[in-house]
Amino acid sequence: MTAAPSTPPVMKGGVREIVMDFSKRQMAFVELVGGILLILGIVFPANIPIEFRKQASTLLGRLLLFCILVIILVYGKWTYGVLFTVFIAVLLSTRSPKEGFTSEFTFNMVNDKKKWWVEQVLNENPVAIQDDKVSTNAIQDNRETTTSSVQDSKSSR
Amino acid sequence: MNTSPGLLIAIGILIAWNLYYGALIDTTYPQELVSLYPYPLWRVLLVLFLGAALVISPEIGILVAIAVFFYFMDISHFIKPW
Repeated sequence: MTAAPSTPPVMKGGVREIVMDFSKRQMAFVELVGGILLILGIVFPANIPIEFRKQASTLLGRLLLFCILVIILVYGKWTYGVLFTVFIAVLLSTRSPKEGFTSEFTFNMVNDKKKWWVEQVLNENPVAIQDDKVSTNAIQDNRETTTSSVQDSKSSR
Repeated sequence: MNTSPGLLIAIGILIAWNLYYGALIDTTYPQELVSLYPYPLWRVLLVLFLGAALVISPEIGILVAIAVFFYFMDISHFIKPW
């Protein structure tokens, strides 16, 4: 009579292998989708809803982001951790496009060859400007007491 | 840590880049980098470059990540009013 083996037999094949293989494939798929989402989040941070960014900037949101980062570093690749860190930094640093002077904001790139006189004097090197045209009006004298809108420089008091 | 001369030179260049553009105030980026920023494809390429740098070397990758963050934030803050 032979003694029973001390170690339990290792089961190979069957449902366990199928589940392990499926989970590995799903993990690769999740990593791929997560990587694409991270790239999109880093490239288009201003398109993330402002409410989401506000919540992410709170104490709870930052703790949640930190926990997600720890989970990524524990269970995923560290490269995704660095990408997620960049995403967090970009997310928390991006301002709302509605802030500032106007919500509908466009800019024009400045050509180096055309510099305004004040830019030359002050040694300014603007890269982009908001307005490239300035509309001005002549000074109007609307006082009722004056008879002429032109000031006479020769007149004495 | 891999201490090949090329890697050390790259690390030195990236540290100098980050110090110049990240730590110093009122330093302007090259005109080409500013002109390319509005194009999303350029930013995607930069992030892919960051991924490649992370795969090649952790030290290079982290320095590139810092440089990319500075670049994205500086330019995006510059082209939009406060």
